Amino acid sequence: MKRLLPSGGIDPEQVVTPGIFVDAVVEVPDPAQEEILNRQGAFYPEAVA
Amino acid sequence: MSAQLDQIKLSNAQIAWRAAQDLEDGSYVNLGIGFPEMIARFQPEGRDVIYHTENGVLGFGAAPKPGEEDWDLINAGKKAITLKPGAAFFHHADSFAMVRGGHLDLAVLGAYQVAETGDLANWSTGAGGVPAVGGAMDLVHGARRVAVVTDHVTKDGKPKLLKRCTMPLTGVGCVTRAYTSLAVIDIVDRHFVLREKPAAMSFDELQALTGATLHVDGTMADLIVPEL
Repeated sequence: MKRLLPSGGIDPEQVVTPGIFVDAVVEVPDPAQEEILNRQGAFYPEAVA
Repeated sequence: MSAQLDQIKLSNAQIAWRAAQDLEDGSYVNLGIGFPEMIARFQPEGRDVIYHTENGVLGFGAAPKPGEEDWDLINAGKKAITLKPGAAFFHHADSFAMVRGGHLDLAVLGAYQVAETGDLANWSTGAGGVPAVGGAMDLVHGARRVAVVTDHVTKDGKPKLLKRCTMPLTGVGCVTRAYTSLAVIDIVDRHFVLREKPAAMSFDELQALTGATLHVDGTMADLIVPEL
């Protein structure tokens, strides 16, 4: 998740996954764009020769 | 005993107050339509409880003042509600995925009869009864803990806590705790285990008003509630 908001920071109509289904969250403010990584041929974990 | 019993027994508000003392901070809770809804009024300060209603709301608060209702905002009992910060709306299938998927910590329901096996009858009194099971049959098997709030005896003095239910069942082996007008009783291994009773009532007097054997495992306390 890119941005952590205080309780009530999301309109109840816009909640896609209510907190009852969530056990933990990790904030990643500047996530890599997956399609760009795909085009670069990147994969994780890195291949070992 | 009956006149004396009226003085000893808890009112519905006092039963709800006692049940509310066991609400856990951060828990997801569904309160049944009617009497169980009263529990939210007595939620202890400092505990945050997230209430679920089957029609698709998490995080609702107290009823609005008369005249301030938003009739698009109701609970499963069709009563107007308000929202607390962090509330969420979702559709019926998601709502019942929460229930059936075991995500609710506690469901509290009313009861016609409770058996020592944990069986619950709370939707139909039998022949001629109005069928209205609603989401109860899902709640009693989906929630992690299932409690009931009820009078200890019927209006004509017959036990509501029995060896076996005679009315149509809502669920089998599902109730874990009963808050009654005369006791707090856990259901453990298909037995009633008495946890609290009024100081003014003897064990034998309570047993005489109960349709199955009451067991004690050493942790029994007085049932103490405030005047409400």
